[in-house]
Amino acid sequence: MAGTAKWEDDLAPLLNPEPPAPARQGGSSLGIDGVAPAEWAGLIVGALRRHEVGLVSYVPDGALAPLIERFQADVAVTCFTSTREDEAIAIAAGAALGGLRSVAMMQSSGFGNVSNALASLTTPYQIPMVLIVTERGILGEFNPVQTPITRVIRPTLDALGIPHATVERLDEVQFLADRIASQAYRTNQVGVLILSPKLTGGKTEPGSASARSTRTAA
Amino acid sequence: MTITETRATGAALLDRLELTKRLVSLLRNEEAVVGGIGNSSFDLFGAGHRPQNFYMLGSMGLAVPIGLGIALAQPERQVVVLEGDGSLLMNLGALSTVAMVSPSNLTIVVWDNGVYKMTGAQPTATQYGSDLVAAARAAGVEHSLWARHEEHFEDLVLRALRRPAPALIGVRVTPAASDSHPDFDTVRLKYRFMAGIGVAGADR
Repeated sequence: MAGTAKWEDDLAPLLNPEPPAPARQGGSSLGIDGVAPAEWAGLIVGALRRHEVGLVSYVPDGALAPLIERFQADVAVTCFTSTREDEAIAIAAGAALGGLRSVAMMQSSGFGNVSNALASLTTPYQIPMVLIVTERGILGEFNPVQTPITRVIRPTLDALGIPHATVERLDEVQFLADRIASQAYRTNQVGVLILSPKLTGGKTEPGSASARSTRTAA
Repeated sequence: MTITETRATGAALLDRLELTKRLVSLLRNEEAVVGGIGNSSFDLFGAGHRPQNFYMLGSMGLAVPIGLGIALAQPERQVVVLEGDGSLLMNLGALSTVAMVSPSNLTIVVWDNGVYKMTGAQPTATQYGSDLVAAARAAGVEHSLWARHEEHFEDLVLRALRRPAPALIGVRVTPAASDSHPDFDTVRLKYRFMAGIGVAGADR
């Protein structure tokens, strides 16, 4: 009967729920040889751990979530939020002064809060660290407030003489992470990895990133 | 509406240099001391340079997180941050981070003179009722107190150094200028500090 069929149709989704979508920020399809979306994060963490990074402070971004999860799961790494991006850099700087290699992470908009920390602390005192900046404001950005600040990042770093590499493809992650970290810690500079949405997926819709783990089987 | 100064009266304002000297005289275990921007650093130098002093010359608001980073890198070493009220106001969030991380070896001293001394003594918000000790307590730094006089300050310092929890000591001080300053050779300041706190390879 038509009425019964409709009632069962309505019930069907409850009885057979769709499996949850993979908790990848933004929903863009990377389609890079079918590789699991978070493999880039494992490669970055591995490279930094080989350089003996022991402290990570960050103001989160959805695209940073795979990195945050891995650092927090690593018992050799102290990883925690900071209330502001320049504070994260200062924490990393203090740790570096104390002999512990450190990393600060932030979204591109957060980079707008760090100019003086870079200009007056890490540069004149020659304090090394790696910054990881996830890039919004390009390739599908929906919020115009995100676009201008992203344009400021590279000119600011160039003006301060801070080396940076934009990571776009899985096959360059390990090399760039390793070489940026190596140069930073060996030449007492900041080194910056800018993670493109081409790598991370970025954010193409408003709303919260899923809290589910994006970690995949090794 | 007239903004009137509501700075607490009662206890006399204390002398930042005098108390810096007293603090330094209490240090017996090569404690790291971070001098914040401006007169906090200058009076730290004026109290007698120590190899474990770090003079932060330009990053207003960042002395507390720098101290936190040092404390985490060297958990066996006590770390004292000397910060001014104007600078601390710039980054109050750092107090929440300190409370969250809750290192056992970090003490923050706030020299509250109520002014941005270095730029012409313009008043800070603490002249209008902002209470940095209350702010620290509210941020979660439970052991936050105003020092009432010199001996009380010394007592608070000794307790803070021995307590395995972060602490903040507020001191209302006069708006005196500092007579001294470290040299501004930042790279040398870095290496002297790192060597002073035993970081391998830093003794150039």
